[in-house]
Amino acid sequence: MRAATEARLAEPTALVARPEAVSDQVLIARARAGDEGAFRDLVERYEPRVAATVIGMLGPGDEAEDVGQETFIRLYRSLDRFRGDSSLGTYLTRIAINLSLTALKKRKRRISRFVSQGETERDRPEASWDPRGELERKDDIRRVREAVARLAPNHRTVVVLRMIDGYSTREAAEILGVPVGTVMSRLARAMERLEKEMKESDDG
Amino acid sequence: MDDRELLIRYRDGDLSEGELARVEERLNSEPGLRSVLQSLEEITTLLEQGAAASFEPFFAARVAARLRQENSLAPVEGMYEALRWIFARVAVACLVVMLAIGAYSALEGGYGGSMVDSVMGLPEATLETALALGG
Repeated sequence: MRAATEARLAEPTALVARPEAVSDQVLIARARAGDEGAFRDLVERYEPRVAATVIGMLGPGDEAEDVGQETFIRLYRSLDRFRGDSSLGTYLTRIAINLSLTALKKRKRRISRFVSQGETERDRPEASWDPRGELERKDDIRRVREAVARLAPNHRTVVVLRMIDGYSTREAAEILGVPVGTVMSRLARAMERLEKEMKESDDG
Repeated sequence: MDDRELLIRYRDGDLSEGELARVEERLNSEPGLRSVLQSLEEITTLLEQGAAASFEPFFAARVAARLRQENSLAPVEGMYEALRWIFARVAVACLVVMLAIGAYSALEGGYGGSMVDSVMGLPEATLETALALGG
């Protein structure tokens, strides 16, 4: 699963093809020396990964775009301090997660008066969720995204890291600075919640 | 460890041989557990398929533009910092001079009757002095 996800995330999305053969370290060294093109190459290389993380956490929109940009701005500001102890992808994911969590806190403060009614209907009796056919796939994807958006931030974070970004449980634990068991239990609870929400959505 | 955690580890290939055998035995005999695994796989697939692979087009160009904009603002911020640094020192220097003048006035005397008048260097305000000032 991890390999497939990485392959998907590594797909070039830029209109102009960039030489992937140049290593991150070389691009970082050039960017440190003031080469804007090298930094832009890094942005294009890691945009898919950061987009998956940030949009997974915040949903699509201006807020995600802003957090995505800020993630790379923070990287640029910390290029001199980046020692390569973790991979650049992991480093960026950590920044993206932290900025996303901060954005979620701000959002919560902003809209705390407007709690959606959906969140008050969480404890319906469990029903069997029947996965649909291909024709309704897009609708299922939309519903699961909405369900992810209703998860508590710490549960959403592990779902994004494990299921969307494709990190292992151990890697997710390192990024979040929590024990492996915590990641696993949060993930199990989050998946249970998602399953329940999908069933409720089907029933409704 | 609950069943979901067990099944997540099962999907990850993260179980020992003994655990694996027990889970597969349970999956064969427990439709409920199979249903949970199926839901887990379905939701995982939906999450993977629904993952965004990019921001709006030209994201890298927007990052570069923002970076240039922030860098161009840096000298202005530097100027503000310098002005703040100068103002803080000038303010302290002025305060010291004012205190020194006040202390000198208070010690020299010859001004108004109260301590405040002395510190401020104000002459004694009487009808006689007022008439004298008026010529």
